[in-house]
Amino acid sequence: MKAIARLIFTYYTGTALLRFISSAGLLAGIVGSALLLYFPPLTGGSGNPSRLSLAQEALVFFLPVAGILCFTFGASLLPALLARLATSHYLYVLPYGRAKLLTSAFATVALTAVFAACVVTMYYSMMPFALGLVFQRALAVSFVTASFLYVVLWLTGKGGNIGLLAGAFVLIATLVLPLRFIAMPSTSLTIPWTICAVLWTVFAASFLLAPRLKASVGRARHALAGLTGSSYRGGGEIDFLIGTARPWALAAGQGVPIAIATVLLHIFGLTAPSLPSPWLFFFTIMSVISSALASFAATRSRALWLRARWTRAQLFTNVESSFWRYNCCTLGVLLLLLVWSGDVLEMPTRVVAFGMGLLALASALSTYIGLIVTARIGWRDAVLAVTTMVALMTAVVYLSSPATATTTIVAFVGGLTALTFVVREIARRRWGRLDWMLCRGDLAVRASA
Amino acid sequence: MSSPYIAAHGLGKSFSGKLVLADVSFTVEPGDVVGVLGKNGAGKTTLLELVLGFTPPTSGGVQLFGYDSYRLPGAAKARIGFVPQQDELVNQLTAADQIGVIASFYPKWDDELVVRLSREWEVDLGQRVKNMSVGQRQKLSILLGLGHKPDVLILDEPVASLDPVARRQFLEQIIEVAADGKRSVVFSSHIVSDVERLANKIWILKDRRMYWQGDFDSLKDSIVRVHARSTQPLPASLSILNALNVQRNGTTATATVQGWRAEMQDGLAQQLGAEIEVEQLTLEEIFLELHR
Repeated sequence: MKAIARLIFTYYTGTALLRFISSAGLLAGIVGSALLLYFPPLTGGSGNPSRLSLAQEALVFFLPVAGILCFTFGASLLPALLARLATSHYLYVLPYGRAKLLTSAFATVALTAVFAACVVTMYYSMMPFALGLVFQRALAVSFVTASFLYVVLWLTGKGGNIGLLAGAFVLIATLVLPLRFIAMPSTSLTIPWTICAVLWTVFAASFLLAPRLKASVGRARHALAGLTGSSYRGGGEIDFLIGTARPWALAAGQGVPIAIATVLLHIFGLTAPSLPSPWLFFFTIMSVISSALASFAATRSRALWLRARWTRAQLFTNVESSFWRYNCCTLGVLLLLLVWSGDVLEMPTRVVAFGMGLLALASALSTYIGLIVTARIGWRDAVLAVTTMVALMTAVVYLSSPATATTTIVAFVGGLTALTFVVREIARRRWGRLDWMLCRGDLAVRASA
Repeated sequence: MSSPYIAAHGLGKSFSGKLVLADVSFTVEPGDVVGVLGKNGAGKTTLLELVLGFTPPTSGGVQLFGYDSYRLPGAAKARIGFVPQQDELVNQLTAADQIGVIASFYPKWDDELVVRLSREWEVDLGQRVKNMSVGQRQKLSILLGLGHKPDVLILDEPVASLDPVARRQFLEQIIEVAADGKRSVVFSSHIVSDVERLANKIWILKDRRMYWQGDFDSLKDSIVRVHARSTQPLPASLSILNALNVQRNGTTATATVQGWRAEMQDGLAQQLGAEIEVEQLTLEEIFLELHR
């Protein structure tokens, strides 16, 4: 019990940042819920009389939501710590290590879900709803979302094409799956609970039986490696060393889920005008994720530097070219899919046309933001990355709206293009004085996350 | 006599049909400090992993505290300490948090010992693991293996990344752990002088088998260098019983002999018509002779 409690505590408080996020989340959730109870029902700008201004009401509404988000991400260490211990020898020698670690993971997800469900229930406490049902629904949705979200964090934190691909795939499931249960209050909760039960049972069984499964997995991997062959091809040394040698694995991996989703949406009859915004949002996320591999480039380029007779400026040019070759494949597939899905889902031509430009910009921006990671990430880099993402998402929203004037969209695209050139210039300058003592692998992993 | 902590019989391991360890048998009694020697790929790590139950043996078996090592119960695991060849620490945590996480798994954890050692070894408990040097990480890894005062401590090349001062401190600590006669230490190392200084039992793995096991004095008595000096030229092909290698240079010859016994000296002197001098070897010399 002591070990389980300690592990859970560490997941939430393992680093100073996580301690802050978790505490802030807990505080925001509790204070936000208390405010909702204390204040009379908020009108939310519906025109009914209210003691609070719209901004104050928005703050009261937002506080518990921010609390849930912070508390959920506060346990970000769960996937990293779980994966590290699970793959180490410690798990074999720690008393009841496997069972305790598994229990701690389950308890953390449950704790996160219960916290979210409690806050959501408080949200509705002043409204005429059956609070028991609200709690059940919120718990089910939170549990599914939290389970998937920690898997996403683990996959994306691993780095590499397949990790990012799988992370993106699960992220879509994480975002899409609960929507149905939130949007349609009459939907049965049997499905999310069944999904959770199946996933956790499979995970628990494989986790507990890992020592016995290890040999079989090793043999399967060996056989698979024999089938797919080496990622190295003669003449592709740069791509091999930088990690951009297999763009088609990621491109194909992106294509299949999008194609399936398009067909399903078509079957369900979901077409424009309700669809463009979230649909383009997913494409943009995909485009950003596929290019985020660039954040590993500085670390990986050391081997290239030692072997090639390039100056740092030439190194940057060659690495940039390598990423553009890689991006051409992944972005090309995304653009084709956007055109095809736009046709199938009857999206407006303007959205598809500008969407293609936006995807290219998202890919370029993501690549160059990755390439500026040549040392410890400072607050300027973090602000730049967050601002870029916000700008891209805002562009998606404006671009998808039929009310937006074409000149506004063109201005947005122009602004993002200028930003791309600025970020590229920053990256070029940083690579000009690249210091491999400062760009250790773990920093790049953090950047990717 | 107390029962052995570790007992292996006919232990063997193959990976994908490739034999890496064959027919190894041994026991480790309380108070034993065993040094495992062998060239790269001799099977040292495999042997230690089999003892700890990380992988099932292909043949034979290992008993740890009387249990099949592959199916160790939690209570038995609480009596084992292990320091892997490469540290398996969590980069995001501070040293203190890393210790806290591992300590929480054990019913008995000696905080005082860990704090004292961390001070002596200059491990900053407030520092994040990812900012530590390789040596610092290794020291922390060793602290994690020692903190619960295990009955059996198994270390896979624990000092490879330590500087000489830290190595000496660590070895003193190992002696302290084993000094009460109730604990055992099994460690592999390429630094033969450390094994010589520390171990009271030596295991030498060669060609996937246990080539030698026993106490260090027996090993030194068993494998010696014999110098022969004669007034006449010695025969071109010298036949010396159990000689690992022979070098002849006119009237003198030097041979490393395994299984040497004192009574063999007179027989050899008569056989060669030479004066025989026996030289005892250091462990490093023995190891080199065995692998020549």
